[in-house]
Amino acid sequence: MSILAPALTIAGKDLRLEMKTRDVVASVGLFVLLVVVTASFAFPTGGEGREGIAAGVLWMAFLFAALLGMGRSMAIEKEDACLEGLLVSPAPREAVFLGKLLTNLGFTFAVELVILPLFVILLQLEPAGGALLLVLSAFLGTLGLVTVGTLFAAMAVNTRGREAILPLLVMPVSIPVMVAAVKVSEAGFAGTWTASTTSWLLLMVGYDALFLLVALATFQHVTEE
Amino acid sequence: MERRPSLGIRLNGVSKAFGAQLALASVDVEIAQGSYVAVMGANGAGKTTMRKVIAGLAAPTGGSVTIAGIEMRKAGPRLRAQVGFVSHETMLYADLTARENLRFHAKLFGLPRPREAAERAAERLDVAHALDKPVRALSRGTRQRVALARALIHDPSVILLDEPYTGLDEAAAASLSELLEELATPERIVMLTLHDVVRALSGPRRLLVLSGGRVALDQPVDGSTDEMAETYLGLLRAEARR
Repeated sequence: MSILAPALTIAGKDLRLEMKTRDVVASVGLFVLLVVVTASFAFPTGGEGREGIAAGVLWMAFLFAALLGMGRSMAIEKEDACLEGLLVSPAPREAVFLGKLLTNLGFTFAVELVILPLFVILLQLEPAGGALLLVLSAFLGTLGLVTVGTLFAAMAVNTRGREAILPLLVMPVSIPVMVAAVKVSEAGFAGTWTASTTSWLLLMVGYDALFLLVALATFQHVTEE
Repeated sequence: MERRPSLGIRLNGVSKAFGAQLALASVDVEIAQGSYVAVMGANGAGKTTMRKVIAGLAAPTGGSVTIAGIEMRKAGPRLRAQVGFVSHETMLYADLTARENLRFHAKLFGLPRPREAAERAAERLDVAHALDKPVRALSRGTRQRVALARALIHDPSVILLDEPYTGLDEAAAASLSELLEELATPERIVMLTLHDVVRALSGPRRLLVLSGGRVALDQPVDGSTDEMAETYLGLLRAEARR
C-alpha cells in the first residue's frame, strides 16, 4: 500500500468533518483575526523597524493559531478512539502522520492566506514586491511548525492537560523556523530580497526537510503504547 | 507445494509494563485458526492490554506476538488487513454519517468499491436504515452495530473485540451473540474480552482468564459451565482479597 493514497483519504476525511463542524477554521481564524485587529490599534503608523515588529506579531499569531488547530485536529482522533481505528488499518503509520500533517497544513495555511492581506491593510504596510516572500515564508514556516506540531500532538494526545503540554513541546523546537520565518516576513514587508533572505529561506527548507524525515521515522514509536 | 501458514496467534512470553505497573507478565498463549475465545478477568487484569498487544497497538516490553508466524508490530499491510478490531469505544467520527464513516474505512483498507462495500457492510449488520444519519444521532445499539460493520467491512480473518456488549440492551446483545457465532468459522479467529460470565460461557468455545497480568485459567468451554463459572468467580474473589 502506498503512503500517499491513505494520507489523502485521511486528509479528505478531515476536510469533510471540517466542512460540517467548522471547528478548526473557525477557532483558528477568529483567534488570528482578533490578534491582527488588536495589533492594528497598537501599531506605530510611521518610523523605522515597523516591518520587523509586524513580522514578529504576525508569527506569534500564526504560531498560536497553528497550536490551536493542531490540538483540535488530534483531539478529534482521540474522541471515540478514532486514532486506534487509523492505527489498526493497513495504512502505514507514515501515511497516518502525513494525512494529519496535510490537514493541519491545509487549514492553517488557508487561514494565513486570508489573514495576510488583511494584516497588510490594517497595519498600513507597503510590501511592494514582497508578496511572494510573504507567501513563501508563511508556507515554509507553517510547514515546519505543523510537522513538529503534528508529531508532538500525537505524543500529547494521551496525556492529561494535553492543551498545555503541546505548546511546551513545540515552542522550543520551533525556535529556528520561527526566527527564519520572522526574518523572511520582515524582508517581505520591506519588499527587499537580499542574500541573507535567501539564507533564511534555505534554513526553513532544511528545517522542514529534517523534521519531516524525523517525524516520519519516529511516528510509529510515538503512537505505540 | 508451499504450505500456507495457519493464521494462528501466538503470544510468546509476552510482558507489558506501564512504568512500574506490570499489565502482562510473561503470558504464553496460542490461539489456533478456527478458535472462538472469550478473555475474562477483573478490571486491570490485562485483557485490554493483551488485545492491544495482539493488534500491534502496544509494544510488548518482553516476548513476542505473532500472527501467522509474523510479528504483528512488523506486519505489512496485507497481514494488518486480516485483522478486524472492535473497541468498547466506537472508533467512529461522531459528526460524519454512518455511510461516510464506513466509506472512509473501506478506502483506508484499500477496498476496490468503497461505496458498495459500505452498503454491503451496513446491510450485513442491519444498519442500512441508519446510513445517512450522523453517528452522533444514533442510539448506542445502532452505533455499536455500525462500529461492527466498520470492523468487518474488509472481511477480516482475525476479529478482536473489546467489551462489545457494553451499553447494549438484551435484544441487541442477543443479536450480537448470533453474529459472533456466525463469524466464528473454521477460517477465522474470534477473540472477545468481556465481563459477563454467562455470555462468555454460552458462545465462545474457549475461556481464558487473566489475573494480575497472568493466565490464571485456560480451558475449553464444555458441558461443565456451572463449574467453570464457579472457578471464575473464585478467581475474582481471590483477586479482590489481594
